[in-house]
Amino acid sequence: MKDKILEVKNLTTIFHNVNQDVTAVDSLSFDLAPHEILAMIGESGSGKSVTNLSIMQLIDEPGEIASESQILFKDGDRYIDLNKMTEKEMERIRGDRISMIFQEPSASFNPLFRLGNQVGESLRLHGRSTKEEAYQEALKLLEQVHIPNSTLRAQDYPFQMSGGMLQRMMIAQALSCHPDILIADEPTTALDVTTQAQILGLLKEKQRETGMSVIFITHDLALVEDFCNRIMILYAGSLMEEGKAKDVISHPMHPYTQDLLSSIPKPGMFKGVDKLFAIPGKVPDPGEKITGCPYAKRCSRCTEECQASKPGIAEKDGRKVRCFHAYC
Amino acid sequence: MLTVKDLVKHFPLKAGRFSSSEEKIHALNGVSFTLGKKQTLGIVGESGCGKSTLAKAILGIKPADSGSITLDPPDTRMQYIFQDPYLSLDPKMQVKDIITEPMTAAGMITKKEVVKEAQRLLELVGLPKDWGTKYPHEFSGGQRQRICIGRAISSRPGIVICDEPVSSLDVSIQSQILNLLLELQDKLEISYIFIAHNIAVVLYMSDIVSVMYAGYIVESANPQELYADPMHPYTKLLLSVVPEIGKNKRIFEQKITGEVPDLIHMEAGCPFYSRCPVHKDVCRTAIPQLKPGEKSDHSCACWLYQ
Repeated sequence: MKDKILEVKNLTTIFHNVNQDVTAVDSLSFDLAPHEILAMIGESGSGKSVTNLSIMQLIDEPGEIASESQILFKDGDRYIDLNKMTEKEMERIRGDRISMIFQEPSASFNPLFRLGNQVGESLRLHGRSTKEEAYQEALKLLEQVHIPNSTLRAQDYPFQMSGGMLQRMMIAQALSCHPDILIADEPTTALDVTTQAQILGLLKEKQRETGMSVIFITHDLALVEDFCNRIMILYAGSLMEEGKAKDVISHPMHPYTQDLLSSIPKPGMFKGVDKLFAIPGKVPDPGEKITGCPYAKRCSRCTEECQASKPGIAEKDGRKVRCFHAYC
Repeated sequence: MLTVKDLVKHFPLKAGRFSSSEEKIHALNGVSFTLGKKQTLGIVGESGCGKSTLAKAILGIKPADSGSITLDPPDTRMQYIFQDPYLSLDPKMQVKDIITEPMTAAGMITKKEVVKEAQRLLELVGLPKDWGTKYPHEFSGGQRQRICIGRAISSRPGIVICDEPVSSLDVSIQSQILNLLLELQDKLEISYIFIAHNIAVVLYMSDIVSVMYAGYIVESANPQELYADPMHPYTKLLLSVVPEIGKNKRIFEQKITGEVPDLIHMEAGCPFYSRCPVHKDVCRTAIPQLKPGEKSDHSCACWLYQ
């Protein structure tokens, strides 16, 4: 535990909707080491975004994080439980010790303010500098994320920038207070492939420079193999598999991981020659009552046991897998 | 079946009612291709390359400024599948009415036949046939896209234009929809124009692939050829940044310069000039034409080969 920057224990987040309770995250436990890039992979409803909003304590009514959930964050030489923090205490951590970047950069900036002011805003809010200092610092940050003519661009408004440039600005803003953890929620999904490669390059560069840890949320397995250290595969709010990125991709143990890998079209597959594997069925609806394994309905290895009870997590050599019939 | 020649579409930019600005967005700058029966033409390119404008111009939703679109036979029906199945289904209509709407609109069936036709179409796209009385909100994204596909094929079109049909779907659903499209093509002998930004998907779906950049087709070839032996520097760039499992490509270490081109202030030369790692002097001053290379079915618009 000593060398962990974050340790999440039994995180359960439930949304108390009018008709039913929806368990978005179901007793999820994981940790994050310093300098580590952890990938969270999942489809819609897998709980990957809710997990990270829970870490940031940004779950609003009717959502609720179970009180027995622990989110231990290393603050100096002690651990604090973010789930027990008051809103005031969280405000000091958010954007300062832990910051976030989002999928849609154009929706994440205020359209009415100049970008230079917005990039320096965290510094001002966290009392690290005055308005003027923050602006000067923002100019430096823009240069560090390789924005050409940064002094001029700092005076621009969000609509004047391309998606890739705005995503760079958001990264600059997130890094302004030198956070220990950066949560990147699908940061390249809305971008073109060439821009995606540039943004990934920038994230890797900054992570190496600052030594921060990154939680990288995505639905794209192909993206994370050589970019991340570790991978977590989530499905319907539960952890399915976890391990070193290379191991999980080259030797998937959970049938879901295996199926996902074979259903992604790879360059070099052609019509009439190759047949793409298609996973039958669909992702469970939110709030759907599931007694057994959440993947049972779609799984080719499913047996009666899988439908009757939910398998626990088996752990071996740093690999975790939740399956009665895991590939070994 | 479809011949498109020199399609041009420019959108004028108006700052206000009294603005005399003559600036315009050069969305399509002379696009030509042919599409055969039961064939799929894949179009790949990044945002702003003109791929959706091309689709809308062909259908006449946003008619082209100049150029010609010829159908053979002339009464060939065309249909469209959109990217977002949440925006393209009327929430107040029952699925049986949605899926048969092109047929009723064209007078192909009477109201009495709706239920029967809807059952046939639902089955064809892999949905339970008695779901016709449900409403769109009762369906998941993948199921909605199946309804959109059912609607598109209902009037027996010769050509279906698929504009990013899987990019808003979950990963585990995408391959189902791609395989369904291939299956229906076989069964119903449809031609597709398949538009996507993901080159891996386009390579898998198509018989011919055209790569678009800044409103031009810069390279065109069959998918095997394009993958094994790409000619245009932009195609090479696209292939180098597409994530590929098990290849250890380290796409985050690729050197990529520049940004997408400014479609308002187009330069005189090749639109890829400023980003091209192998550009020559001539590239700055003149636009290269799309010409066949050594192989007649592989053409490329680049001064390197002309």
